[in-house]
Amino acid sequence: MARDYSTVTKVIQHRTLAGRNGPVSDAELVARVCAGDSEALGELFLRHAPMVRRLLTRIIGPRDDLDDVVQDVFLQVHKSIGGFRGEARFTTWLHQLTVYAGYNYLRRPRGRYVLVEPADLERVGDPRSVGEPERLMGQETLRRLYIVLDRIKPKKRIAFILYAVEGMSVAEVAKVVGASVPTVKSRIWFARRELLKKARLDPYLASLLEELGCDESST
Amino acid sequence: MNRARDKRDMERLIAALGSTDSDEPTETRWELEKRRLLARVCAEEATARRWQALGQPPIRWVLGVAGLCGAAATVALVVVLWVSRLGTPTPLVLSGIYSAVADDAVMSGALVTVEAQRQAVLRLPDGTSITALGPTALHLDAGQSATVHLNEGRILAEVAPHPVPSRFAIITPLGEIAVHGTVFTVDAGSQRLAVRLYEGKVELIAEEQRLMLAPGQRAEAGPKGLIGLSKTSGLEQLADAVSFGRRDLGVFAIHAESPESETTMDSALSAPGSQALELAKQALGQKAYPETLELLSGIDRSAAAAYLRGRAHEALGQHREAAAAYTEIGELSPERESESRYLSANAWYDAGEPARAAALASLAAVSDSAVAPSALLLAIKAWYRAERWDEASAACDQYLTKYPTGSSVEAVLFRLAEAAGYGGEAERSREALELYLRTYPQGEHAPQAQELLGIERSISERRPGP
Repeated sequence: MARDYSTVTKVIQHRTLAGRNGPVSDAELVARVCAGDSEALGELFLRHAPMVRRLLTRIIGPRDDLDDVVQDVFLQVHKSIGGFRGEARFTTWLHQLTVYAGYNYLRRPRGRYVLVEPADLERVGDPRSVGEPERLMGQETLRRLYIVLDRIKPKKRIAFILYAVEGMSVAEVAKVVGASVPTVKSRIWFARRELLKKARLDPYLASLLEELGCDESST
Repeated sequence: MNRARDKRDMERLIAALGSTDSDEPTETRWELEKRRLLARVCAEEATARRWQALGQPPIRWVLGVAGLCGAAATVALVVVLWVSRLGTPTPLVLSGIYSAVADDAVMSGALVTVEAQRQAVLRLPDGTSITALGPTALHLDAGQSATVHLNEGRILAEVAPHPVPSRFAIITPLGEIAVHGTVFTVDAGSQRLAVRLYEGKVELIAEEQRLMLAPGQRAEAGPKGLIGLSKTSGLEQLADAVSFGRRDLGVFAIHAESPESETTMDSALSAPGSQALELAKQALGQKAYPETLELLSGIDRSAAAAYLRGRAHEALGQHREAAAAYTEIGELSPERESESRYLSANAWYDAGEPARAAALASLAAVSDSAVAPSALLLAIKAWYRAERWDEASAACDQYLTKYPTGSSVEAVLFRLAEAAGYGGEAERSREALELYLRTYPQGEHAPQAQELLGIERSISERRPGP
C-alpha cells in the first residue's frame, strides 16, 4: 500500500533536530511504524495496550476474547497509521480507534462472560448471604451489570461509560465518538435512565441496591 | 425522594462499573501478546504480498471461484430434483364431488390434492363422505377404503358405521384417529393436529397415548404427543359450519350461546350465493360479534370462515395461528387487505412479536381504510415495545401529520419525545417535549415531560471538564 511519508519525514527531522535523548516519543515510534518498522509497533503496543485493555474492559465488559479485541485495535493502528497526520496526540487517536473497536464488537453477536464459573455462581447464592467471598459477589454484580448494559444501544452505552465511569467531560466524549455535544448529553441521559430501570428489574441487583439503601438509612 | 434514590442507586452502579479493572495481565503476558500481534502483522503483510505477486486484484479471484461453485451447485440441484421426480406419480387434483369406485385411482392409493380456496367431496363406496378444504393432501390405503392418510389439510369426515374390526381410521403425521361411525373435522399440519367431534365417537392416538372424544369435544396433538382435551368453542364450531357449509355443525354452537338465532343461521347456511352470506352476517351479528358485520361486508364465504377461525384461535390463546388465519382474509378478499393486516398485526403483538406486528400495522396504516388510524397507533406501540426507536418516532411523526386532530395526539407526542430520546436524537426529543408542555401544560405526561427536560439540561452542568 502506498503511503504518504511527508508528515512522517517532518516528524523524524523535528526529533533529530531537537536531539532528544532518553525514552523514544510516541511520535517517533509512529514514524518508525510508518517506515515499516514492526518492532516500533511492538513498542507502541507495550506502552499503550494496558490503557486500551482497561478502556475496552469498561466498554464491552470482561469478555473472554478481550485480548483479541486489543489485538484488533493495534492491527487497525498498523493499517491506518498512514492516515494519522499527527495533528492530535497519538493517545487521542488511539482512544478513538479503541472506542470504534468496542462499538463494532458490541454490534456483533455477543461473546460470553467469563467472570464467574457456574460452580462459583451456585456458591454465591443470595447476595445478602453472610460469609461468602466478597470478590465473587463483586464479580457477579459486574456480570449482571454488563448483562443489563448489553440491552442498551451501543452508542448510548459507550457515551455513558466514557462520561460516568471513565470521567471524561461531555465535550471529550463528543470528540472521541464523533458526535455533537447535545447528542452525547442525550445519549448519556437516556443510558442512565435505561440502566437504572433495567438494573432494578434484575432481582440480584435490585436486592443489592435495596440492601445498600437500607444500610445507609440505618447508619 | 425518588430523585435522591435514583442518584444513590446510580452512584452505586457507577462505582460497581468502575471496579472492572481486574485480572490485569503480567509483563510476561504482555510480551507474549506483543509477539502474537507482530506475528499477525507479518501474516497479513505476507498475504498482501502474495496477492500482489499474483498480479490480479484478489476480488476477481474470489468472485471467479464463487461463480464456479455456484454453477456446480445449481447443476447438482437440477439433477437431484429431476431424479427425485422420476418415481413420483402425478397427484389427482380434485374439486367438486368425486364418487370413488372400487379399483379406481383414488381407491388404488393415488395422492389426492385439493388446491387452496377449493373444496372437494370424496364419496367412498362404503357410504363414507370426506369433505376437504384446500390446500389438503391425502391418500387412501391401496385397496382399503377404511384408512385415510391425511398428510396436511382440513377435512370433515362423515363416516358410515363400520363393523369392528374393519373400522375406519385417519392417519396423520402426528397421530391416528380411530372412528366408530361419526361426524368430525380434522385440522392436520406439521406441528399441530386438531380433531373436533360432532357426532358419535372417535379415538385420537398419538405417540402411543389414546384419548376418547365425546360429541362437543376437541382434542389436540403436537410433535410430542397428545396436548389435551377440551370443549369445542362456539367460534370453532361456527368456523367449521361456515367453512364446510354444514349448518348442523354451527347450529349446535348458536343454540348453545343464543337460541333465538338458530333459525337465522339455519337459513343462512342453506341459502345460495350472496344471500347466504348476508344471512350469516345477521346470525353472527346476533352473536355479539358486531365488528364482524363491518369486516364481512362484501367478502366471500371463505374469507368469513378465515375470520372465524382467527377468532377461534384467539379465544384459545393461539395468537400465531390467529395471525395466519387473518392473513388468509387478505389473500381471499384483496379489498379487505388492510383489515386483514391490522387483525394479523394485533395477533402478532399478542403473540409477543412486536417487530412483526409493527411492520404489518405500518402497511395497514398506509391505506385509506377505516382501520388506518388504529393501525398506525398499533405500529407506534409495537415499534416502541420492540425498542426500534427510529421506526417508532417515524410512526409518531406520521400520525401527527396525518391525524393532527386525532384523539391520541397527546400520547403520541409524548411517545415521540421518548422514542427520539432513546434513539439518540436529542434535538428532536427536546422539541417534542417543549411542544408537549406548551400544548398540554396540564397533560397526563406533563410531570414526566418536565422532569425529562430538566434532567437533560442539567447533565452538562453536573460534571466540569478536566
